[in-house]
Amino acid sequence: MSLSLRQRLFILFVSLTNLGLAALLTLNGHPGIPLGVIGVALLPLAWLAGRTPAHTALPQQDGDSYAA
Amino acid sequence: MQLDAVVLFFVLGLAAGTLKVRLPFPGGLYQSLTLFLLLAIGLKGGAALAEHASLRIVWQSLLVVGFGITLPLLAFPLLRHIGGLDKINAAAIAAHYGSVSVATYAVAVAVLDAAGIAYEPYFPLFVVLLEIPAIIVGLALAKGMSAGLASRELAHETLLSPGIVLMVGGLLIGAFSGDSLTKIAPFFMELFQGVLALFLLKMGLITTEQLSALKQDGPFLAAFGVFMPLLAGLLGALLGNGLGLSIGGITLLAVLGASASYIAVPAAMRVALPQANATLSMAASLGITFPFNVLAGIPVYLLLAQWLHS
Repeated sequence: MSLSLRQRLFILFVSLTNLGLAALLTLNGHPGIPLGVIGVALLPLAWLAGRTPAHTALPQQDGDSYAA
Repeated sequence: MQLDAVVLFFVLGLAAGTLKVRLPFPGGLYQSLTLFLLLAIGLKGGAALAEHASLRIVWQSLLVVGFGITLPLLAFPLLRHIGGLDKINAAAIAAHYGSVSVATYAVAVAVLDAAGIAYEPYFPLFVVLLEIPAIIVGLALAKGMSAGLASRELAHETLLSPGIVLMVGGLLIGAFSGDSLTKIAPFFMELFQGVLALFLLKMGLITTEQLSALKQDGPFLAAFGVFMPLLAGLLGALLGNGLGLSIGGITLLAVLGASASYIAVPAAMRVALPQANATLSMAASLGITFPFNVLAGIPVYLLLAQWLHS
């Protein structure tokens, strides 16, 4: 299985997990909208995976400038 | 529908950052707010520790450290085999996700306080304990088991990072100051929520900066930044339930598991793994996982805790 296919399946799995949790929360009377929105937002990323580089050679930043 | 006021400050920061509003937020103020929060959390925990110290806390602490060791070991294979990241970057990101975010913890405490849900008051001890093991595991994953804290500079960055010193210092002052703590309580305890709200306004602005970096760094990290808190939050909640914690305690342990560090770990990784790309880990932990936990995760962990407890 190629890397891009693995990434697509993983993103799809995470997206569906969020949508499933959102549905479960909503059916039980709790606000599921935030998880639903995240689930929907992840869906197009499954398509994008493999079309963009996994990471870029951006200059390193000092992480602890964002302390806490 | 009612939303927590503190969380809404974060949303305001996100909106301002997205709309590119130039909010005048001095860097020194941000550092001061950070210092205040770390000390206040430590003080609260120290006072509680002095009151509730017992053998039970010792074995709970050991299991919590074991939890901190497990999380990067779960994250690493995902990053390597699905993310396709090299060993160094995968280990660095795994270390971030094994450690904790004090800001996320503070938001969870604010949410529990607002809802009137009790939790074990000695939790800041667990926050401190969970900061360090993931760094050592991350190093071992990147360099092999012999890496440890062999370098003096690394040991200094890991064990004496400003965040750890302030929290441990606060814990000790809170534990040993007795009744004299009431003299500083109006400043550190009663102003806590207001300071946290201002801090989160700035965090919202920072998050939008990190999100723009993630646009270039791949969809996988975005999904990972959502998946890892759900997995670690579930494991944290199960551990909390197993330890016999209250609903608030189970929620907080889930939050600690779900959060990703941006105090101790980036500083330690800069020394130990300078070749790792810090943008990747910061974009995932600050751009994705922090807002996910604040906006969606914490209520889910609370519901999970209520369900497990019942």
